[in-house]
Parts: sequence; C-alpha cells; structure tokens
Amino acid sequence: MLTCENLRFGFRHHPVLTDIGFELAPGEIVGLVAPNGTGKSTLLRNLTGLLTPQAGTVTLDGADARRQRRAFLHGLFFLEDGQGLLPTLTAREHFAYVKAAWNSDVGIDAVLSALHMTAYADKRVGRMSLGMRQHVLLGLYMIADARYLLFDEPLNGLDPTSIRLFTQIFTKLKQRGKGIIMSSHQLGNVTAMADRVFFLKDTRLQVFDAASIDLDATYDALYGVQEADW
Amino acid sequence: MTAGWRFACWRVFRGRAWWVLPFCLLVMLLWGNFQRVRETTTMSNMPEFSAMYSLRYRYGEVLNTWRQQPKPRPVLTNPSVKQMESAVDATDALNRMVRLDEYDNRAALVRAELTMDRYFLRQAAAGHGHADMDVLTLKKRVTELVANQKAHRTQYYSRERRLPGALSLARSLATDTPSSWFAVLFCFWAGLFILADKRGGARALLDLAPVAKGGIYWRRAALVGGYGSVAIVLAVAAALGGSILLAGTVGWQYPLVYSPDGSHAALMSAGAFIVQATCWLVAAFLLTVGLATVIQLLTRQLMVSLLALVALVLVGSASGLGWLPMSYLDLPRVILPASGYALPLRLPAAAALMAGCGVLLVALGGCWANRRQRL
Repeated sequence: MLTCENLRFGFRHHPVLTDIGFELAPGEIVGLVAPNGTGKSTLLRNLTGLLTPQAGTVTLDGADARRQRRAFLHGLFFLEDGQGLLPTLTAREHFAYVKAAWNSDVGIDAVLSALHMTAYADKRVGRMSLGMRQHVLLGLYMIADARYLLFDEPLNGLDPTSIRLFTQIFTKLKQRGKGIIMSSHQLGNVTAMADRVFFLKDTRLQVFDAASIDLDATYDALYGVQEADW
Repeated sequence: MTAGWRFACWRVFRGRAWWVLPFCLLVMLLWGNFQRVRETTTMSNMPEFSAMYSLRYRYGEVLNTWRQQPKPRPVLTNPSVKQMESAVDATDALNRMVRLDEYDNRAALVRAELTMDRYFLRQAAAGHGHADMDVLTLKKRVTELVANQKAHRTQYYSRERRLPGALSLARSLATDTPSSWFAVLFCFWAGLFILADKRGGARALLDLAPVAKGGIYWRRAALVGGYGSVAIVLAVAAALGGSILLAGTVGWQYPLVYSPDGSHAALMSAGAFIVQATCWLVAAFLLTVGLATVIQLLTRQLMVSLLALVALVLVGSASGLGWLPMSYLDLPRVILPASGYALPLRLPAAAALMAGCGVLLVALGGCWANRRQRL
C-alpha cells in the first residue's frame, strides 16, 4: 500500500499542497486531474522524495520515504518525462540500467517487442522524437517492474495509435497488480482506465470514484472555464 | 563488469567531452612553443642581457659626467670609478660578442658571460649590488652557466626559439603556462562530469534508483580520476614527443635552475622536471575531482557548484598555507621555486598530499551520499 498522510508543501510563501492524504492499493489506477500549474507534478515529486515535504509522511508497504529510502524506492518507479532520459544512452542501455537497479526479471527484448521499439532500440535518446522518448519512458516502467508506478502526463506527444497501445499496457500493468497514479489532461483516457480520480483544487485533494461521477461535469464544476475577456 | 560500472562507463565515455581534457592540455603544454614562434627575438633582446645593458648605461652616464668636469679628480663613490670602468669594459666586450655573434660561437659567449656574471656576483656579495642583479639571480645564472660549460652543453637563453624538445616542454610548464590555467581546465572538465548527476531531469533516474547513492559517486569519481590521470600522462608524453620531433634534439639533461631556500641556487634536469610536473598534474587533477565530489553535495545549481570549485582552487592556490592541499596547486612554487618558498612540502610529498586529499574527499562524499541516499 502506498500511503500519504497530511502532506504539506509550498514554495516560499506560496502553498501548493495542503493536508494531502490518500492510500493507493496494488492493482488500482488513480487518475490525478487538475489544470496546468495546480501542483500535479509537485505532488508526484513530493511522493517520491525528489522534493522534501514541509510536513507529512509517505510510506510504501511500511517503508518510510526518507528513513528507509532504498526499500521505499525499490517498490516505486517514477520518471517525470523524456527530459529525464540520458541523451547519450540508447533505449536498450537505459533498460539494462533500470533492470539491474530494480533487480527485475522482465526481459528487455520482450518490452522492446511489446512497444514496437526494436527498430530504434539502439538509437541514442538524444536523437529520438518526443513520441519515441515516451515509448522509452513507458518501457522503463515496464522493465522496472516496481509495485507502484507514478506517471506524469504519459500520453503527451503520442499519436492515436500509440495512445491505444499505451492504454492497453496500463490495463495490463493493472492486471499484474501494479498500483498506478497517472496525472493527465486527457479526461477520456482517465475515465477509461482509472478506478478513482484525484482532483487537486485550492491545494487540497478531492477524491471521487471514477464510476460514480461524470468526469467532464465534475471537472467543469471544479475548474469551470472563464469566458475570455479579450 | 557490474551493471553499475557499465552504466558509469557509458555516461563518461559517450559524447565528445572525454577528449576535451587531453586536447586542451596538449594545447596548453604547447602554448610556450606558440609564444616562442610568434616572437622574433635576437640575442640582444634576451632578458639575461637586459640588466647588463641597464648597468652599462647607468655606469656610462656616471663616468661621462665625471669625465666632462673641467678637471677630473678622484672621487669616493661606491662602486669606485675604477670598478665602474672595469664593469663598463666587461659589458662592452660582452655586448660586442652578443651583437656580432648570435649563434656561431656560443661557447665563447658563455665564457664571457660567465666571467662577467662572476664579477658582478663578487661585486654584489661585497655590497656593490645592482637592483636588476641581486645576489640570488646572479648565483642562479652562474650555476647554470658553470653546469653547461662543464658538460660542454649549448647555453639556451630564456626567449630562444630553437630549443631541444624536453627543454622546450619544461620551460612551457615552468614559465609560459600559468598553473591557474591547468586548475581552471581541471575544474571545468572534472567538475562538469561529476556535477552532471545533478542536472535537471537526469537527476531523477539516478536519484530514484534503489541503489547505494555513494556507489554512483565512487564509480564516477574513480572513472573520471582514472581516465583523467591516464589522459594527462598521455598528453604530456605526446607534447614531449611532438616537441622532440620538431626540435630534432632531446635536451633531457639540460639544467633548470631554482632556489630551494631563497639563498642558494640548485639545478634540476629538464627531464626530472617533466616527470615531477606530470606527477603534479595528476595529483592536482585528483584533488580537483575530490573537491568537485564534495561541493556537488552542497548545492544542485550547476553554475554555483562550478564557480565555488574554481574559487576554492584559485583562492586556495594563492593562500600559501602549508597544511592546505590547494596551496600546492602552483606548479613552479612547488617544483621549481624561483626565490625560495614558504610551503613546507615539495614533491613527492606535496603530490601525495593533494592526491590523498582528493581520494579522501571522494570517499567522504560517497559516504555522505550513502547516508542521506540522495544525490
């Protein structure tokens, strides 16, 4: 279980997250939805320890994010976007590193094949397109085989075919018992995959069962678009 | 090879940055040659003779004034008129040789210069010194001239272009290339490699990996330090080989003069100096790697880290504190002190101090990173 309790974070005098608390169970997909600049990525960075919360705790199956760091990280995988990849390394080399670091049994060739990446597996990431990098990114999540996976806008820069492929992969990951938090702007995909939806509004989290709400209507109610005064 | 080492190797040797160090080092080592090629210096422009000309001019003025008096009479001066006349005669004789004979009769020139320098040294030792020719400078010149005369070696003056290869490289290291250039090159090259783990998004993949974070630093510092040391040795060897090929002669035994205590002159062969300078370069590089490893644990801002590293190295090298390893980042001061030195250690102790501190700092940085499990 990934547990977050009373998490608080802000930049200087600007609070971003207040009293954030939730639990993520294995085999559950949670959609994290909010407009740009609300704090989705900041929440994910706080959960992983890339940013230090001002208060609160994050634990993963009992391992504290700060005190039992290696045990905590072993059960988690998060890489924000393609910028986090090392430009001089190939996709295959990234996979080899993550496989060794997370001590995973997942085969590299199997992942390359599943994501249709064989043709550019040995190309340097610095020479790849945005879509190719997104494939490498998803491949890393599959290779790591961690129990909990945090995605930040994983469908950015993808064509409709790739979005369908990614959606299938997410569903399979869920079937394999992975707990997933996925921030996304694309409400349709969140509705299709998520069990619960987290809305980040005024620095606090509002939690809904995906099946019990009309996602678009709830989104409009929370963040209704103001008419442009222009 | 373990996955960690393989990954560290990929990160260091991919891209183009790995050859920047030996390339820049080679350019810096050959810088003195470029300088010498640029200048067209005749024997009469050598700094060794400039003090003589200035002395000749000063004594000549005094003697002319004295001779133009209606009735010249003996006067009490220090040095005496007789001594000044003797000095002027000696300098005129040498001046004729310098002007008439650039290279053809170098042995005679050296003999004449030695005679004159010995005379000036006796004068200076007797308290009749001259501002441009203090006792230590004269002692050093006499020592070098005597050594070359005894070994029947050609005397090479400071601005000469046609130097034997080893002497050319030794003079580049000792006088033409400031030590701070090496320090800044090491800071930027090693610093950027060590600090790369902190840069932007690339940090997350390393920071969130469930591995010992100290291991990442240790492997990286070991690779950068090991590769850098080999690159430095190879760059010096290439510069030496290139200089020898260009010159056609080696000059391994040519003496370089220095003063270990500020009052005596001592000699070191150009070859021994090059070997010691190479050790110094490797030790200075290892110290820089150690400093970079520790500094990057304190801040994640790349420019702040680099500037802090450069400041630490440059200010440290000028501090003169014997216990501070950065004080030894001044090559001539450690190996070839011109007029004594305040530092308690010379090579190999100074190099051992710098390299040892570098290794210790890397170990400390790794332990610290292990403890907090963050880069």
